[in-house]
Amino acid sequence: MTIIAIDDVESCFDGSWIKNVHLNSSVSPQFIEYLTPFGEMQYFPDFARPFFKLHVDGKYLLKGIEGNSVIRMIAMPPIEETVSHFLGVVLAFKGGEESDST
Amino acid sequence: MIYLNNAATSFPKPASVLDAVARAMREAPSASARSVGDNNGSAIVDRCRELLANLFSASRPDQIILTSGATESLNLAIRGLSLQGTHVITTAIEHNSVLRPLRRLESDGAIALSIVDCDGSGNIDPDLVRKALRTNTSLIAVNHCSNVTGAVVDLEAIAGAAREANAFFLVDASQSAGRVPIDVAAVGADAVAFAGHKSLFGVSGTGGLYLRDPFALKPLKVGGTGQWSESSVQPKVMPLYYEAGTPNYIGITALRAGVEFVLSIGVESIRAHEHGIAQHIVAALSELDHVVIYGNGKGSSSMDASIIAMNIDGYDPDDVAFLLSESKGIVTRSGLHCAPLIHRFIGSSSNGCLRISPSYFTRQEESDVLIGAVSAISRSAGRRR
Repeated sequence: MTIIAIDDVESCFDGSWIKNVHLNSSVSPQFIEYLTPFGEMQYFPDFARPFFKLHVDGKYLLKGIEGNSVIRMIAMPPIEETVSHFLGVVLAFKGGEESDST
Repeated sequence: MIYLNNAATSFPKPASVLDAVARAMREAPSASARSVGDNNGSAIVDRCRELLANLFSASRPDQIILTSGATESLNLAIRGLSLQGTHVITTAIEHNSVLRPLRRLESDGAIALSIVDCDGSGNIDPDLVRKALRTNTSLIAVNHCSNVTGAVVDLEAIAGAAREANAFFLVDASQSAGRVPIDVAAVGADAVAFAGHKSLFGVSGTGGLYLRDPFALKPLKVGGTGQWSESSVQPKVMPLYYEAGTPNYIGITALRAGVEFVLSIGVESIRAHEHGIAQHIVAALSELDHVVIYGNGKGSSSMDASIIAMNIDGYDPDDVAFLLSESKGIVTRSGLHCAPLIHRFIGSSSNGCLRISPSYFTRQEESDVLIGAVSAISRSAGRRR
C-alpha cells in the first residue's frame, strides 16, 4: 500500500494540521488490524462500514472508515516528520489491493 | 454534498450573488471616490449601505460602516469606546469575537468585566443583566442569537437595562442578521455588528457595524479615504471616518446582492423555511435513543433561529461530524464553535457539540439524509453499550 496524495484540510492553532491522506487502496479490516499496535486504537464495528480512530502519541490521530481510500490525519508538528512516519507505516503494509477509485 | 454548516458560512449563495461577483470581476476595477469618470464603485458601496439600512430599519445609510466582518466590527465598537476604569457586562453565550477583546481589556486592567450566565438552552434573563449593573457600567455587549443553540435574546429588555445605566448597548447580530428581523430603533441598540458571509449570503471578509451616533467611537484604523486628502487627520465624515483604505469592492458587491436577495424573499419567509427544516430534523432526532439535543424547545421555538446543537452518547462530536462527512457527504460543524462558555450551561461535552445549521436553500430531502445518517450512528451507540 502507498500514499498517492495528501490534501491540507485545515491548520490548527496548536501547530497541528488536519490532512486527508489518499491511499492507493481502500481501508480493509486487515489494514486496521495492522495499524493497531502503532498506538491506541478505537474500533467501532457496528456501523455498516466500521469506523476506526488510531492515536499515535505525539505524532498523529487517524480517523477512517472501512472501505474508504481516504484517511483523515490530525498531524502534530514537525509535520513532515509525522507524515514521513505514516508513509513508512503504510509502505510496510503488504496486504492492500489496488483501489478502483483514485 | 449536503451542506448544513450555514451558521459558519452560508452555501450555496443565490445565483444573483454569483452573477454580480462574476460581473464585477470582469469589469475594470471600481474606485469609490477615487477616480474621474468612474462612479460605479461609489454606486455599489452606496447601494449596499442603503440596502443594509433598509434591512435593519436604520434611519440613515451612513450609519452603516462596512468592515471585514463581525470580528472587526465588534473590535471597532469595543476598542473604540472609552472604557478605561469602567465596568462592562457581557454574557455566557458570546462568541470569542466579543469575549477576547473584552478579556484583553480586563487583563490590561482597563475594565472590570461581568459575564451573565445563560440558562440550559442558551437564553439570557434580562433581569440578570439588570442585576449585574454597577454605577460605572459603560458597555453592555450581547449576542442577539447564539451560534451554538440558536437561542434568540430579548434585546429590547436588555436595552432597557442599558438605558437605566446610560451604558452603550452593543449587539452582535452575526447569526441573526438576515434570518431574524432586526429593527435597530425599536431595539434601542447603539451599535449592531453583523457578518456578510452567513445569512446575508455575501462572501467571507465582509460585514459591518450599524452605529447610531456618528463619531461615538474612535476609529480602529486611519488612512486613505479617497476624499479630503489634504487633511492630515482622518476626516470626520460618516462613514469614511471608520473606513480607511480601499474598500473590498468585490466583497461589497456580493454583500449588496446578498442583501437584495434577503429583502426580495423577506426575512420572515427565510426564517419560516429554515424553521420548517429545523423542526423536521429536531422532531426526528428527538425520537432517537442516545441523541441529546440542546437548546430552546430543541430548536422548535418560534423565537429561535434554526440552529441545532446535539451530541450522540459515547461519541466525540468531531467523530460524528467525520462520519457524517465521510459516509454521506454531510457537512456539519463540531467543537466549541468559538463560544467556549455556553457549553457548561447547556451540558454539552468538553469537546462541545455537533451543530447542524440549515439555510433557506436546504431541502427537506437533504434533511432526511441527515436524519438517516444520525439514526445509523445512534443505533451503533446503542450496540456499544
